[in-house]
Amino acid sequence: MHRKGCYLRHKKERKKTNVKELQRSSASCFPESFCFKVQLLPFSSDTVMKFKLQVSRVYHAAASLKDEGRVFRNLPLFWWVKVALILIALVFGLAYTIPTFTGDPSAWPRHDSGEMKGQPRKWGHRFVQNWLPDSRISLGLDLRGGLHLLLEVDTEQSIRDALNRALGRAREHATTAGIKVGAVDIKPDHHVEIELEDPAKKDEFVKMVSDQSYLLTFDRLDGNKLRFVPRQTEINTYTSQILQQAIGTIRNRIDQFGVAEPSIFQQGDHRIVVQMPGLQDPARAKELIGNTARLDFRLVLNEHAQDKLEALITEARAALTLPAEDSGAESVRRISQWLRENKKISANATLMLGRQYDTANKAKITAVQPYLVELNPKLTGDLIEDAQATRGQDSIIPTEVVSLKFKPQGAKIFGDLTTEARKSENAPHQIAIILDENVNSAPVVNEPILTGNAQITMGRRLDSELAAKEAQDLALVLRAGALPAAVKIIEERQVGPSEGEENIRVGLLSSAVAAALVILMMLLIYGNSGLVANFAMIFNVMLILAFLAAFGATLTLPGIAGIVLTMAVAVDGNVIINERIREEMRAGHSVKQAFYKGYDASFGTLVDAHVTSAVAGLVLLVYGNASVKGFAITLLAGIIATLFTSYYVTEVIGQWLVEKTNIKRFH
Amino acid sequence: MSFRPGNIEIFSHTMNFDFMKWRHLTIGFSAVLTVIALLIVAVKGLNYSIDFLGGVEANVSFKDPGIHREAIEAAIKDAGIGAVEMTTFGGLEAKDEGSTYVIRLQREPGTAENATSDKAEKLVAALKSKFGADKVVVGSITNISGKIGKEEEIRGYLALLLAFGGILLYIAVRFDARFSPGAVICLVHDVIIALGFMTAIGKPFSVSSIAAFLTIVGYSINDTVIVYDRIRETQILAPRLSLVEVVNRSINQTLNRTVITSATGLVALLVLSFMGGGAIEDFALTMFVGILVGTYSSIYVAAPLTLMMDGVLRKMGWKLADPLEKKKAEKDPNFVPPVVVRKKTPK
Repeated sequence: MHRKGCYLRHKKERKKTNVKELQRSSASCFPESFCFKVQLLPFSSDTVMKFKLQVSRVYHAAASLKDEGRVFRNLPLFWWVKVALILIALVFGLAYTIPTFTGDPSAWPRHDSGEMKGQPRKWGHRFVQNWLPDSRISLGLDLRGGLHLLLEVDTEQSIRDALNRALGRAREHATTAGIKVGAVDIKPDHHVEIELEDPAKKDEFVKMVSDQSYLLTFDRLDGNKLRFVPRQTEINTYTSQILQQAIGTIRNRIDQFGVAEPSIFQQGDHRIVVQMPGLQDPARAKELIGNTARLDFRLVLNEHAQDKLEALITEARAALTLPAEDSGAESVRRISQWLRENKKISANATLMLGRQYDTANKAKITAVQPYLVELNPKLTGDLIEDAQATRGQDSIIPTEVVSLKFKPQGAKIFGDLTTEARKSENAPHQIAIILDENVNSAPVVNEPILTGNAQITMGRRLDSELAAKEAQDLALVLRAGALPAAVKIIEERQVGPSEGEENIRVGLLSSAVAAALVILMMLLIYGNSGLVANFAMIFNVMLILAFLAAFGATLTLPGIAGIVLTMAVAVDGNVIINERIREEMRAGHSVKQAFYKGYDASFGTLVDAHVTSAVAGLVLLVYGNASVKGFAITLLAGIIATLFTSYYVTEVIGQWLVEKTNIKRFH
Repeated sequence: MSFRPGNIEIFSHTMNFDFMKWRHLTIGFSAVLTVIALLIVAVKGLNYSIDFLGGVEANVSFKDPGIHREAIEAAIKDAGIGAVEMTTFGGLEAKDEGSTYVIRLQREPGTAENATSDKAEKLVAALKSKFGADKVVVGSITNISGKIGKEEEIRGYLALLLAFGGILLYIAVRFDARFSPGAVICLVHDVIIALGFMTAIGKPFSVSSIAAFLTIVGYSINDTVIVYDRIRETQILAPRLSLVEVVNRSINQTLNRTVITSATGLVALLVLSFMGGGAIEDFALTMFVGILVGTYSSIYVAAPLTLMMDGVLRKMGWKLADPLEKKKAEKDPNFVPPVVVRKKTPK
């Protein structure tokens, strides 16, 4: 068909109306690309244009007679199918977008009584409640106000504590079995070295260790030192268990605190994200979350008298070059270790300080009293069933007290502990109640307590309301459970509610102004098709909002900026198509042909351009922090919706305009 | 050029300006601009925000117009909190209602590595005790520890690299290997110049700056792909034209579309940079500069580099990208068309 002279033959046959000839020849002889190539032949543009007009008329007539191809006299059935699809999308978009704009359902005025009890008064609200889906666009923290925390869980310390406890139990079993165990050294990478007096008994001891902890396996024997290596898979499982437990505990605490719609989830291996929208008292919430609330009960040992103990501490401080005022938990641990290593105290004893805090300023320590207690607690806070904050009755100045009730197993252990304390060799007969490595109190046990009840006295505060709140918070935290490991806040973002509203106002205003300007520009530059493009752009924005509502994605302030940018992208798609249509018109096609060719040719361009923009958007989605993610989500949703609206919707509308109306210019 | 409402055409469709004639000049100009931008960044230093260094940033409104900046700074210094940076928070609110400041306290190296410091509470408490709790309204507080800051920074750079790599791959697959280095160098050039401009006017470098760079990448590649698509199409339709001529025609044909789209984007960003609210304004300004540079670079950086790559690849012997030559290569030199012998002429 690219035979030379093809066009000459048809020039001669121009006047004939032999339809069959035309069909046979024209359908195969005039593919679209031929017209492009004609452009390059050395004829004057007038001739070329006239020729092309003839070509297109012939082709048009032939094709429409045969009713094939994309050029139709009437709109085909397929067009109606497309319209149906678009209407479905429109309904879906509206259904998911409208609920967001009708306000909070709990604030709607409702009927009080009668048959319509509970139903909203306004018919619009009734419609929204009964017919439309229940999803609203959730606003991000910078639009609603609230607190966002990123917590890091100290799993290392927790694993080390678990190993300590397990090895302590193994040591006890070994002692009862007559095996003497020396120093236990846990290295930072969880390798353990245990000194054994009698290497021959190693198998028995190894069995005891494996019974107590599945985190270690036996490696080898070095002289009289047993080496254990950690089992990585078990440690990983244990770490994820700790994370899960921490998330559960924090969720418990927040639920009891009464925050609406909090979200707590794990990030990475060691981190937890906590988001509390609409929070009023961020400082209290932070304390609540960070509070480890490690409670344990230990027997007070009587190896040294009080003043001897203080002398030992001074000696240890000098040896480790710690200042005298340093009473932090870490330094106390180091002092204890030093004392144990240098055999000043027995191997199962440790030092704990009872710190008195200033009533006005919680951070200042006014007095410190050292206690020598057991190294490994037998009774820990997870055996507490309930904790309530009450007011102590037994002194003139009312103090807040937290009453504890143990679970049956805990009650039994508590009974054993108090019985042990009552024995004559444990002279002070005291049990230390230790809260977060601070000896809260060390009451004297007069008789064994078998009922499973205990009390923690809170320090005195000048402000009784504050004291009551503290007691309630501690009771809450004990009820919800102790955190399995210490958590530190590594990132914190707070937004006040007034700022949130301001952001919403500013965001909406700037998007409205930008939209108005873009609409104006499109109308000025493109006229009719600009109108169609504007409608597509508004449809696009609505689809983005529906997508956000349907999938529960949050809208942030950068998200609103993303919507504004998406308007520009949506319009860009139509600009490409319209420029193409203009080119085809200039090349001599009729309005209809130019329309179809324009759409055909620009589809590939649009896909390429949008996919490359989507690559950048995807990277943003993976990389960004919470507010940047909001931007990336709206941008990506916009790009996907653009392919649908800028191309498909405008094509369907334009097809109707071009076929059914006498529109002279579509472009 | 016609400016009838409803039918605006900025560049005539018969325009055939020889863009590529000036390509050596403009590549030189782009290279110089990039070097200047890098020098600005090296000399002035990036103004790292607390997102990357850690620290405290508080957005505090003072409801009393009588409270001046110096008084606030003095109060902060008295509380012993350390050196802070205060900037006014923009917006269209009236000045007589009081003012809003963004108070930034950078983390001192060595403190607050693994956990956030309590400086934020100290700061708010000091301000409230000095000026009265009802006059001081805390808009937002951001408190970042050192550890997270470092991680965010590394992730930001990785994200940019990932975006460049992804686009490199996609363009090499969809178009041709000749086109992708040009596109990616064009993107890198855009990001560096936007970064240089932002550093020159002293805007902070934060997570949203990296987000702005990634968005600039998305937009600039949009423009570049349009030109490449037209080049590809013109090559198929007019295979005998030299690549320089093809590129020229393509750019001329897409000029209208490029200008109109960039204008729409710039208008939207201009609105955002004036009215968007403090956090968005910096972002919008970066993007504005980025789109301006991106439009220029799609024409004058991406296309000339593609031509250069084409020259390099031709010298290396890879000539098959040309469709006509592909056809020639596919033809079998020993092919002899069969001869049809008719016994009788048909009636």
